[in-house]
Amino acid sequence: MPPRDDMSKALDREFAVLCFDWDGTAVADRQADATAVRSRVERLCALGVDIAIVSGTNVTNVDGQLRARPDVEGRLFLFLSRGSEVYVVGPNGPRLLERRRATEVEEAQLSAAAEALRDRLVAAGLDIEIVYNRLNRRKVDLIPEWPDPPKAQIAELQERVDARLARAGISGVGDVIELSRALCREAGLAHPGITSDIKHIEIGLTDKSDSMRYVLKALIDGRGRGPQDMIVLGDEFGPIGSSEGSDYLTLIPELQHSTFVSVGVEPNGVPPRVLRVGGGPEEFLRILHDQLAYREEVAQQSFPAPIRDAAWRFEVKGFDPFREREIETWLTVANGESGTRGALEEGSAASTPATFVAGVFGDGTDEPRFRQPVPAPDWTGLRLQAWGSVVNLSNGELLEHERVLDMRHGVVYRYWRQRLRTGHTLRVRTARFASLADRQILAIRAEATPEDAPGRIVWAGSVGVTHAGGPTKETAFEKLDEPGFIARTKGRNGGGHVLAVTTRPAPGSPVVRHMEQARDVIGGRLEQGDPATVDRLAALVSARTRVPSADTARRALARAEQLGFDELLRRHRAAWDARWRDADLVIDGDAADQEALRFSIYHMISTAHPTKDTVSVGARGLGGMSYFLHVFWDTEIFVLPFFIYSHPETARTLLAYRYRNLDGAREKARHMGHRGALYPWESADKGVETTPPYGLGPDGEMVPILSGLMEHHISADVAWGVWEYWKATADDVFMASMGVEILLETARFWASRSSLGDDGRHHIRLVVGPDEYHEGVDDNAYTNVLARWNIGKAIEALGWLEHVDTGYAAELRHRLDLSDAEIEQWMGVMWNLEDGFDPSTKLFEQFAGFYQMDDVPIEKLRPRPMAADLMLGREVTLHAKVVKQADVVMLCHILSDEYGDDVARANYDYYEPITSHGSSLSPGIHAAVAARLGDVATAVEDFKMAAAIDLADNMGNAARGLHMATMGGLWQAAVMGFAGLQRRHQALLIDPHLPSAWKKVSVPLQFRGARAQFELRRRKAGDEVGITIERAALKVILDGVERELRPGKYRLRRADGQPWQEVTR
Amino acid sequence: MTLLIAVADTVSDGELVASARCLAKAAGWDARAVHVRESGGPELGSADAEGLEIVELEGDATAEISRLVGMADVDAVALGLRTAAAPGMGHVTEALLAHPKAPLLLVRPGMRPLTSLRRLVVPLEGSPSASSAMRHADDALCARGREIVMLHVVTKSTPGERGSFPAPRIVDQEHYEWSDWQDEFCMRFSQCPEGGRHRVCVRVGEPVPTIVKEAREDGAELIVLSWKGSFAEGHGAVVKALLDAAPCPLLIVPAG
Repeated sequence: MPPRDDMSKALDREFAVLCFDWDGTAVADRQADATAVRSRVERLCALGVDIAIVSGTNVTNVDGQLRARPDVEGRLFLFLSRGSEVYVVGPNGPRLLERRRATEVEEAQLSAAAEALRDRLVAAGLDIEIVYNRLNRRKVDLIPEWPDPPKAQIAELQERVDARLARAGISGVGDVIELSRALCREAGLAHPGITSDIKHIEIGLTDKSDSMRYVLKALIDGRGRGPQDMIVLGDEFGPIGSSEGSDYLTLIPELQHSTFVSVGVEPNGVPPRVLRVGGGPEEFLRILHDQLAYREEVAQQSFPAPIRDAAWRFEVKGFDPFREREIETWLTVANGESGTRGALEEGSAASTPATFVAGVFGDGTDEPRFRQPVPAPDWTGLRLQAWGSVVNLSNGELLEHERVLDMRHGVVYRYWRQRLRTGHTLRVRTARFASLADRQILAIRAEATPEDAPGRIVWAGSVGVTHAGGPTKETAFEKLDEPGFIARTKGRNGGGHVLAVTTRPAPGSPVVRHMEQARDVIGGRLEQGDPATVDRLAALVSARTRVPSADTARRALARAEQLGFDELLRRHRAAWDARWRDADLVIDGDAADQEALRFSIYHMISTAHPTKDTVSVGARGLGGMSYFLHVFWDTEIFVLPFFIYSHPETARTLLAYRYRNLDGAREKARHMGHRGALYPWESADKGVETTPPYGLGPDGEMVPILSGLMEHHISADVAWGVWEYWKATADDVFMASMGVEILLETARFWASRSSLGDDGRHHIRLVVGPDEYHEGVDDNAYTNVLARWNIGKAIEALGWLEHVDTGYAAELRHRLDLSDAEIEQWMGVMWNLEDGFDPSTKLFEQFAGFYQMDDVPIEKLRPRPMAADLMLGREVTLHAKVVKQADVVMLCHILSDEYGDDVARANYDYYEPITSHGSSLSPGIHAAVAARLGDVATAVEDFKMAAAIDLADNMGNAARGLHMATMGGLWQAAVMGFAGLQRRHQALLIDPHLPSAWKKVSVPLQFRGARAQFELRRRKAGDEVGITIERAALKVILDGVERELRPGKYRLRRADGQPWQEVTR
Repeated sequence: MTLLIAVADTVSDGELVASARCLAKAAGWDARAVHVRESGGPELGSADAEGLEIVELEGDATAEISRLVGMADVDAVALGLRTAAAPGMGHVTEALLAHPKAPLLLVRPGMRPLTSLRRLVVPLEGSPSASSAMRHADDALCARGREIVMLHVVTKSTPGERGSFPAPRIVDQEHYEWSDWQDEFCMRFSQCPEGGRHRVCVRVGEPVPTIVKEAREDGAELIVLSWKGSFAEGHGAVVKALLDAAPCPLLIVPAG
């Protein structure tokens, strides 16, 4: 016998085919309870293991005892009647595949041989019986008075038979077998199969070697395997007395590389090819159990887990139907192409599942009409049944429920335990992501585990029409050739989607798939503690003006299926790791602020597409229908800076969107009687104005919307974005090919938009500035100063282009019909444009006549944030010195390299108290400016006010979508405000004002080819900055002086009120 | 469900009985009347009111009615408030309000009586606990042809309760924010099964005068309010003030 270690090694692996004898191996005898065998056989079949039972007896005996019913046919085979029959077993029981039928001549020969043997033994004085009713064989019973000896008593049986034979003068069973061979030859049987189980001599046309050859053909060769993939278990490989054991004939030479194992007594040893472990049916069951355990370990370990570091986990515990919609928004998984709300897979009365696709719009039908996004079909539907009962949060008692957004890796996890009304407890886990590595792919892994009793668990995947509504014209469904579905959705006068989705068992999970009508149904009978795990893979392909072909979605889905969930997840995580390397802002000291910032960064990265210039970042992201995914100045002024400094490729794409839509802007300007480019206040897919002319107020009353007509500063905001990007990245290619043209056309607009007044100054009349409480005002400072700046930068950019590429500059001027005379006219406007600035006070008057407006006691504007037009009344705010949001303060922030701290201070001190922060765009910018000016306590208040906009648990602001501008504002407050890292021309100013709670901040920034990692700390009475610079030199401004730092490490310190000192290099 | 009408005397409680019977009919409830004779208390008057037989009991009115309210077959109670001539809410009402177990219909002599229920006002501060009034209105009173006005009065303070959804304090673009807010407000606080018409109404001001004004101008026949069991500041104080000021009957629903 090989040493035990060798045996363990031989058995300690997965086998693709399990082949075993029945009597004596799987069961002790015909009366034994085979329930344990059945359950293991069924689970192994569900896991994709092929099982072959090789027995001399018939189907009634084997199936009558085993009664296994695998969920699908094709895994469990019965090779019975000693090589004469083959059955396959499925949900409805055994089905005959092949039967060797003896001819009449062969039947006669078998009987003749058996009778001749009987006669000879009877003549020797033995009592012998023949069993005729066996397929293709005759059994000569040597000891009829012992009807069914158990295999465990084989030794005793052998003794008694030997004794009987000896009394008849026959030395042993072996002699009887030899006699049988001679008699078979006499009877005319050319190749009889003669075997003995001691009690019988069987004379047959076939034997177990025939079964094994069938196994080889069907389950080894036929399924692309090798003999080494099979284990064969029996109990009688070795000789019994002087005859071969009943399993000996399974040792065919073609299977010499299979593993043969005996669990039998084997009184005379086993052939060299066979491992003897003994232990009988109990050991057999243990071997089956091990085969299950190898596979189920895969299933147990394959379920991904969220990151452990709490600073990366955005956790939501419990279930509150009141808050579910804002939670769904928080837990949106998106990748710039699409965003899917974090709705429960099984649904609930509070759930609003929806998937939104950037850039795909259609016409709405309600009044007022909007250009609306066309939501994609809902791919997340996974219904669950356990113990015959539908599983959801209202079935029984919720024991545990937690969801975690792993911000580091962009995966939403769910953990849920429910005690159903049936009394059973089920544990459910899901993991969901929208691939950042392959933006057409979406995936969920879902696992349900019966905790306290075995039971049938069924997952049913379905495709639903989204909850989000929208102007969908039609959604059509069709089945895929492979299991799964296609759903096609077309918008009205717009684009559409095709979704291909499939659900399949996860690796190692003992569940099988059925197709039922419009659902993927996957389930099985699970033991307590065994998980039923499925992978749901979806491919979503969209187009802006048509519905893509189903083939494109099929190909994308095939790509996902080939990789599988685990590989898709690995690539997705790797993509997120790469993004965070250049974006992570780490705060040591305030966990709430850290969470708010990582949450913001996660959603900004999720929402922006780095390469598709047909889409931009909508005001409310990709997690809700709010604002219909329309694009506002929120993108350029609030969100763009984050990308400029962390992922310039995305920033460039966001600006390319504006370049692509330049014709729409020109058209709007023309339509309004102006020249140049006036960008739409709200932009969807066509670059034209999509702001409705009126809307509904708080009471359902009709309210005119003037922003589309008058809020023109957006053209200058886009120009600012272009300039800021160029100066921060030195991307001259972009500037030459797109940026200069945008600047020129927007400058042209401002020149034409302004008008010469009687006072000899140029004015821009009837506008709405950022402060939307005051509409139709003249000379809004923000608008006018930016307009002037826009013109100036356009002229400067043109000069640069003429210097670097004279030919192209000339071509551009020709194309734009831009003459020197026109540029002269622009300069005239630029030098003469009213800006409301008083050099003596350093104040900008927010608009002409602002100072004459009514005063409102400050306490009436508290607490903040406050929708002052609601609280005080529209008429009051229209005529009062009340500011909705950062307007002049915003100007001081974005033009901080034009206006120094003295101007910023004067205007901040004046406007801050009367700003109600009635807009989500406001507090973040105020925090940045306050921090820059050293008002850190106020800056912290404003920062926390901004963070609470989406994250407070008692306002529900996020129910319909996230506030992207707030998120960008928070980043700017942290980086440009508290960390004090802000561009000044072509250098980075370093002037931190850290909150006292922030012990350390570290942030990476990319600037003009350099990558710099900053680490800032507040010391007892001073600041310290560590800078690690890679790739290129970095210009910084310290104490008002510009310095160039070469790649390397630097450490700088300054005591309060003192200049910076370099500490180490 | 059964509405128990606690009658002090049939003369002064005529409006109470009429209003209670109207509410019961609108909600599909049964109505029963009871009078508890306390020593020194008012006489019942006639033995029936509006054709409804009144069961007479003896004892402490507060204890008896509280006991009846605690019984399985009583789902709501109707009580009369005192007149201006006899100020206060009455000791029974006060006791039931202190330990709310069931909805209370309160009718003050002089209120516009409840003769039909075509419009009711449900003031909602935007907190989950206060929304029990809306759930009750949806369950019992939502029907075709009947308008429920979800009245949200905006004040400077906001509810601190998790899951609250008051009027937004930040309104970026009005034409989106308000329709979004209304949709979510309805989804969060109302599960009207079918047939009824809800109107969300937003007003700015002090809760009590605003509710009174709105109920009066809308011609509302009933105000439904949630109630936590305390007359402390805030919501409780609103309820207390409305007992005196409301132009129509009040249905007070236990919160939570």
